[in-house]
Amino acid sequence: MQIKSIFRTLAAFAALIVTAAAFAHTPLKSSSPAADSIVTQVSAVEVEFNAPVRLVRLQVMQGVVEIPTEFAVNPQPAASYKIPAANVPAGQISVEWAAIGADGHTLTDTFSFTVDPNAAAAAEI
Amino acid sequence: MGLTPATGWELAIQLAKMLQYFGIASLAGGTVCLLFYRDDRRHAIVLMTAYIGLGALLGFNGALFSFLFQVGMTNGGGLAGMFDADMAAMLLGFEIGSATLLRLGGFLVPTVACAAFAARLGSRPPIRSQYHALGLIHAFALLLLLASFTITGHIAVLDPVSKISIALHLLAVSVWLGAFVPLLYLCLTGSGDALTVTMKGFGDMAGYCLLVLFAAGLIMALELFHTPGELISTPYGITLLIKLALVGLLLLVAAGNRFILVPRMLAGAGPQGLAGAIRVEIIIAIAILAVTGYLATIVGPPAMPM
Repeated sequence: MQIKSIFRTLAAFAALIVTAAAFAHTPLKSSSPAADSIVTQVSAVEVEFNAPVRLVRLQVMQGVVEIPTEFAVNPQPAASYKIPAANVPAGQISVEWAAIGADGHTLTDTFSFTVDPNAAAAAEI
Repeated sequence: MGLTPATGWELAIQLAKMLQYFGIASLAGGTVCLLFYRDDRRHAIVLMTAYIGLGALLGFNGALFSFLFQVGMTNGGGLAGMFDADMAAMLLGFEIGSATLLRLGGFLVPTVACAAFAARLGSRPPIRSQYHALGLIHAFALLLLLASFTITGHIAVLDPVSKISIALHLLAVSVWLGAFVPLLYLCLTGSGDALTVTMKGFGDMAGYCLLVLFAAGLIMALELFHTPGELISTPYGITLLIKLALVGLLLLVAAGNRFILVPRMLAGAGPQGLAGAIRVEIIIAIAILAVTGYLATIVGPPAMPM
């Protein structure tokens, strides 16, 4: 009886941990190109955080192919980063990043946008 | 760009943090019991030393894996990313690396000390100076561990008063919760006046721990929240309320021990009722560690942009 109640309690808290996971937060304030936007071309990826972070990884991906950028780790925390990326092709692009917050927490997230050179023309029609 | 699902990495880091909390609790609470509440039965000394040593070993693994999980999370390349040497070297240069090294040292020292202490146990109980030496070594290890919590975590970016508060808060809660397992053992195997004196003495000490716990907790809460309303309107606040409810439940059980079960023992009743209550306290303590790990890993305080 007692063992059952212990397992019930532990199961309840395991459920709490898993379901509460939906509350996790991301510190990314904005990006350029913006998440889910459609742009005609990209020369750089800009990310702005709510507070200074150390951006330790930023990968621009098209599917599983990584697009070369000029990203380099800067050990000094900053709230915004601009990473030149001259050769971003047309199509669905995702940006994966990882940063270390001022409090030492590791933060990661991904956002996507679409590069469509004909988007402006299509919008004018 | 608001709330996103926590990743498997974050949940793994939370579990690793729980191991570290358990390690600190067993070190602080176990050492206090070994120094002040032991009887001189060899079996009791061996079990208390094993509790501290194994707890510290679990804490060591928690600190190690927490770091490796963060390397893997940062790398983004799956499980193999945990062993990215370049990323690990980079993170070691940040505060997270310093905190990890302090924790690894803080857990390794008592693991080795307890193994050496247990290996030297002969047929006669240890002399007072051996206990003092072990106590000093564990106090040094605790200092390393408490210092690590002032350089990373939500409090790390706040003022020195908040940093001292988190260290005192952690120390008080560790002494209190970490003593439950040794006390349960004493309760199950001890008897008579000595056991009653031990339980009464622990009850008095727990009162002081609670004072420190609440004073330090209040100071931190004032820094982490802008307004009281954030307690019910933010994920961090709601989770903190769950933690406070669990602490309240624990206090109720502790008060029952202090004012009902221990006096009954003084009047000649057996320790079975008290042992049952301590078991309940251990379950609540595990729940508190889980919620604390969640607070420290997955949700951020409203007064902080991260």
